[in-house]
Amino acid sequence: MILAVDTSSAVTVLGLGDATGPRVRARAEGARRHAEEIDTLFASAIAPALVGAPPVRAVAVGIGPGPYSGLRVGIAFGIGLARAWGVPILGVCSLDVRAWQVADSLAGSEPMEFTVATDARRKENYTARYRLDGHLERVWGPVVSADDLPDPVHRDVEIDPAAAAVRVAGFIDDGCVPQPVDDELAVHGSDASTFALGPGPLFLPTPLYLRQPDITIAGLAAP
Amino acid sequence: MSAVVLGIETSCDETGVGVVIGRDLAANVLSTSIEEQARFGGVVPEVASRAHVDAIGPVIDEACAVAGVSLRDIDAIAVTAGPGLVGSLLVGVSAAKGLAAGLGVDVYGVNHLAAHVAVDELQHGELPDPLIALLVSGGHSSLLLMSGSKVEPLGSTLDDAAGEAFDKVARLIGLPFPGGPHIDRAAELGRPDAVAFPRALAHDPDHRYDFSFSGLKTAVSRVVREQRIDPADVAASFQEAVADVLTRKAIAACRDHGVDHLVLGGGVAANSRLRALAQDRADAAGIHLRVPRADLCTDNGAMVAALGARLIRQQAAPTEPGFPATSTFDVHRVLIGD
Ligand SMILES: [Zn+2]
Repeated sequence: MILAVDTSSAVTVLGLGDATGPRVRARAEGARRHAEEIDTLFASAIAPALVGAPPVRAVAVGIGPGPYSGLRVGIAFGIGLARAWGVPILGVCSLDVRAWQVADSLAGSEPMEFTVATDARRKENYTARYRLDGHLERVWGPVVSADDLPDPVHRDVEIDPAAAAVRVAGFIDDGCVPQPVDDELAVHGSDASTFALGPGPLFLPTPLYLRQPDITIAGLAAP
Repeated sequence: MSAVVLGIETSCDETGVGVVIGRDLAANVLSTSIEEQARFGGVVPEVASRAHVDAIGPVIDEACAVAGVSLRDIDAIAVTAGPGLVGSLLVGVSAAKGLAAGLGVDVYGVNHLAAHVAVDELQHGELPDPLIALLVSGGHSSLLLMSGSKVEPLGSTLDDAAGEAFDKVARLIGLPFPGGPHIDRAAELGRPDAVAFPRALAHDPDHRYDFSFSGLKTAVSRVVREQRIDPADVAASFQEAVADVLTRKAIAACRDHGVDHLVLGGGVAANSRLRALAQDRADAAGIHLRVPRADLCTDNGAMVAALGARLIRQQAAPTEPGFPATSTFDVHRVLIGD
């Protein structure tokens, strides 16, 4: 069994699944409420489902791109969970996860390309381009971009964590090993032609920020 | 059996994980982004948050290794839920929740300030009750009255934190960030009476326990700009002014409330002049002073674990799932949502 977590959007999702199919999915909305929702969802939906179930063999976390503070909640929660269970932690690109779902919905169609995008604020998108031809491949991205996106665009697809768990279970069975995310690329990668996340699909749990941090010195409003 | 508590602290730029067994310190591991922050001359919240998420896993591993425990031996998790930088707090809180969920143990979301006080138990044994705490660092400057499980904030800074004043003055006289240790060293060679810097709010009845350091910083900048005074004398005189105001108000708080125990905490409590002056004035006033050693004064995970262990001894109820990380933690409370 794989436990999948994603907080790359305003929705916090947790799910369980394995090669035999999806098991459990839990979701809660609230852009600034990831930290409040994540352990509540775990306690109400995941912990009961684990009783008598096959053991969890890995924790998969969405590494974005996505709004930073929320994104880190899922990753940090996954890091804690994986250590507590003594199982590996794997990162998956949150745009890839959305593309897997799009590909599932297009199964059996002609070979084609499509774009996946989510809102990156500042009138920009987090986006990546995929080619589906029997199997799914990332053509470019993920990037943060203000450019017009090539059609067709699948925007703000909500992540199904149980489906993601099924995919990750398959990748592990195929012998995929998590790849490191290049720190420099993870921060600077705004140019699609030079950005290279690596083919994936599994990564170390390093957030894909795609932007330099804003440099504002902490205001000392604390008591 | 003494509880084995793992504490996580990520309220500012230190990723700290500590392990406390009963009242004994078993591990206190720290990863800091201070060198990265030094490039900017202060703490950049997003830089700190990024460093926390990279560091948190390895720091947890190392703390367990140092303590010689496995995560399965942990009885409870304690984590700073606030006050602090919210993006940074969120990393620690989320990791703590993941650990607690996976281990099936209780989690305590605690007040960072109360943890600064509780850490002294690791060095000097059970805390006296009641006590006055003077907590001074780059992020906070507070005088608290702690009695039973209650925390009463008596006063705090109206502008800059004490540690922030050290950073700014260090920059004015050409010393690197963080300013505290550099000013302490420079002041050794200077005269503390070279410049009579202002003691803000020293006699203001409306702000008997409050602090203000922005005027002091302005006065230092004027002296540096207009006069030819040895930087060591500036450092010593500035440090004297800060230590004078802090200790004067802390002793007054003890006297006014009939409390004869004073605990110092926070990074600025590592300052040698503050420690010495606090000791002199406490001795003169018949007050027992407790100051944890320097590595327990600065932000660290052991202080959070120490507070968690104390709460378990007091049979406090653990925090329910769903608690937030909050920059504006209600300082009257030791536990979040309590
Ligand atoms: Zn502190």
